[in-house]
Amino acid sequence: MESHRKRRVITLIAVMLICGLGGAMLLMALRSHIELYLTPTQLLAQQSHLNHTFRLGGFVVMDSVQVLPNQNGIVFQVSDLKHEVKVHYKGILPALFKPGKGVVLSGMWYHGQVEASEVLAKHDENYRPPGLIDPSKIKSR
Amino acid sequence: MKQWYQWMALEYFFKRSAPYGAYCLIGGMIVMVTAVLWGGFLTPPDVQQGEAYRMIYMHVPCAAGGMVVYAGISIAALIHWVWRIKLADVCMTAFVPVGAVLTALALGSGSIWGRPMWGAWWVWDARLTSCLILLCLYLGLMALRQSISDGTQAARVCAWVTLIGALDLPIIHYSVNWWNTLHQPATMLAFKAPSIDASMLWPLLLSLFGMALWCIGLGLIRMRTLIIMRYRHLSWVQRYLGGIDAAC
Repeated sequence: MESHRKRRVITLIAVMLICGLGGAMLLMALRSHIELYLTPTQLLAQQSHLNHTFRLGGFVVMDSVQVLPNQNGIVFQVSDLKHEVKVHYKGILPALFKPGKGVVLSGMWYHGQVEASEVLAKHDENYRPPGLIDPSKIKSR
Repeated sequence: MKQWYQWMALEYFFKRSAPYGAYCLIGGMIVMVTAVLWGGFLTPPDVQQGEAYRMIYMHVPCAAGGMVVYAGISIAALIHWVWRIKLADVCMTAFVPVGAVLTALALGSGSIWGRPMWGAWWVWDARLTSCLILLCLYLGLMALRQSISDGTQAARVCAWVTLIGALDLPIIHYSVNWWNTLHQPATMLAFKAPSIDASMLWPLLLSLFGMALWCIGLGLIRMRTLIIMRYRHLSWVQRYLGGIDAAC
């Protein structure tokens, strides 16, 4: 390769490396702010989140969903298979909110449980027609 | 003797590429319509999402198209920066609006799907935000190209911005693995068998193929138009335009 082309390639590689490194450092520094939600384990470890709104993500524990009387909303447990957090919510639930499925909610601590202001459903990457057996469940058994 | 690098010469490219743009565009449209009708009416509904999952047949090809087009213009930018090939700059300019439209459609269709499924039109999730940055890069490149009047200068500046912007592509792809996002992880591009039933996978693959054809066709036609606009002073372009006038 001629020398001026070689020089251009070297300049390009150097600039890309510097920008890539800079970008990676920026993302590392912002890591906790890029994360959309905390898992129950992270939430219980980070007591600093006690006083402001945070997002919590995990699975709705099977058989934990209770509808409170007098239209006082619902209570359920959110788990990451290590720790569980109790959540209270009063409002409209998305179509995919189901026990055993993923959920992301924003809320605050209130008397030892999370008082949710918004509940979003987290969908998984599996697509299948009704009536077929879930292939991921066969593998886990 | 016919050699592949003749295709890098503007005149050779212009004269030989004439029918392919239209072929790819029309072929891509037929394949896309088939895939969307197949996916929209003939596949079974999803066990969790019901009928709403059918948005996948628009959303996934648009999102993949937006990213692959950006990867393509990055390669063109690299070739232009190192070898100063004019056709690479034409390619770089022509494909930007195509990628911008696809990225905008991916964000729009995802938003329409997200409202009933997640419960929100938009969340500041790593995947969604990095895709929005991709759209901003496309729009920025279009504005940058217009704002510099000297063509050579504009090409070099745009090549640099394109290449630095390409660092967003791995961030988009790996965002769902690196951070906790609301967006689900990859269905097809993970290192395992696709976690989608075969009856739903085939129309999806067909829609991706159709999108590829459509992109190439539209890009080729835009490249040819750009060559005429940029190099209208060259004698062979004049002769071509004269031929059109005579035929009218």
